[in-house]
Amino acid sequence: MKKILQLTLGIMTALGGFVDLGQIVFTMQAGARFGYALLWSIVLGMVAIILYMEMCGRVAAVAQQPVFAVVRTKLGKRLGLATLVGSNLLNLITCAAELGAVAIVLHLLFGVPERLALVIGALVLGALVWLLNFQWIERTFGLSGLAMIVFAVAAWKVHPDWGAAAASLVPQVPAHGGSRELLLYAYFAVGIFSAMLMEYEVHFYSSGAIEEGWTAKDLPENTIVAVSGIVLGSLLTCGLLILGAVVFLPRSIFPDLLSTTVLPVAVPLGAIAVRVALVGVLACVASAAVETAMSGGYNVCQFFGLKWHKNRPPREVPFFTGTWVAMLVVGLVLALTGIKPLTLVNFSIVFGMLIMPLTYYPILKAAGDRQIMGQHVTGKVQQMLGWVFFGIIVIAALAAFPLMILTHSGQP
Amino acid sequence: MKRWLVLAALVALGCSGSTVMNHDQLESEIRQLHSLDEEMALVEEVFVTRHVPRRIARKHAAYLFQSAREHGEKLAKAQPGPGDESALTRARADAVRLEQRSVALMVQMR
Repeated sequence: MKKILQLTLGIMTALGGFVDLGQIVFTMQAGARFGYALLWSIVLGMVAIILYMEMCGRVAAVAQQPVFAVVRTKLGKRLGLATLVGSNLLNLITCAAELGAVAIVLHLLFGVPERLALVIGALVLGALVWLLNFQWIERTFGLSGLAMIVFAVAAWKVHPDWGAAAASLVPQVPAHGGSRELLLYAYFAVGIFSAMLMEYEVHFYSSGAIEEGWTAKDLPENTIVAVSGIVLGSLLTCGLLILGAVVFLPRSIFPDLLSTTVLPVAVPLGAIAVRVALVGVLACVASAAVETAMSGGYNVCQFFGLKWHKNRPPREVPFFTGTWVAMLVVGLVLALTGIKPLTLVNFSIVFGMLIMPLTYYPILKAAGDRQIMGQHVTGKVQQMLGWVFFGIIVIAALAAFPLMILTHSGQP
Repeated sequence: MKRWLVLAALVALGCSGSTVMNHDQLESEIRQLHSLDEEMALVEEVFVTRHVPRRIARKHAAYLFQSAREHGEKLAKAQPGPGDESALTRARADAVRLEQRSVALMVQMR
């Protein structure tokens, strides 16, 4: 019974912590622009992140090696260091974007001036990370993120065309529009795929597996949590796209503001649901801000072989503590410059895709290495699927930046 | 030396960003203004039917105002491409109208 409760908690936490600012904005914009047509990219991203997360969790549980320890071993010091710098730069940009989003939601909910809300938000998040242990950080943010389910309920209540939605699970090239429309379609496909695969989530998960002392015995839990949490989170993401398609597309609205993304909830569910949706968004973006800051600390310490553990007192892990605090402070300063969170998140999604092959490849290699994994080595089918997705990730990485330039970051 | 100076001047000119708005950019701006217009109508609609709490609707209207103003400023600085003079003038007028509409929206939600 205790095990079932633990599993349920793990799945709910994974579900609540799955969505972040990039997913909210990109999927709703994609729905508003292309209707259901890009639902397939959510499914593609879902399979990719399940594969990646399961491998990371398995390598962490069996070999006790978190992501950046593997990156250093498999890529070598020089390329590994470049990956670390890129990855932490990405974490920093994402952290700043999510902190900016925290401030917007606090402003909407309580009327606090945005800049003050930014400082208060960062201080509160910093204090929570400082005071809580890893399990409680994960649970607090993950479980409060469950308020996002209100988006899925709203998507159900707006009566989408389920037939058209199901047909969109197979990729189709848009029938109308010229080359610009095609480029935009490709940009949003890559953007959704990348937003689903934000690597900080996986690094946080992998580090968490070691924080919680997982061993090979915990592998079934790893698979169940990774698969169930992500499938449910992806359904929620589909709900966001459906809301964009049903509420915004017929009105030719392109959601370009974070506050716009809660409007579709108001249409079928009313005022209380809008508040719940905002609380859900707040939990998601706050969770992402915390996870990116902590991932920054984890990455540095794991790469250089320094002591790290959230559950140890800060004086015992000074580099880890110093790095996550620095990430949060620099993220705050970046957000205070007034750069819009949605501009930052656009950039972070494209940049994230560029970095992805460099962290995915070492994990794929390590998980398939019998010397490291012993009997828990990746099976043949999964390994083949892993390589197929590596190919897709490389293609998306090569296409991401040119598409961003050509479409002016997806402007309609 | 002279060749390098000419090249540097051309690069500097390229990096300075032309104020001429090409046809695609203008069309994109017009689409974004139309989107803002429709969004204001949606906010009014859901507010009238009491779907959005007053403070949230007012703050959102303020963001819409800010967005309309930014579009207006961008359009005011832009030079029209060939044949786009009247479309740019109309877009500028639309941006001003949307600014005013968002102010009215904020007042309505007080």
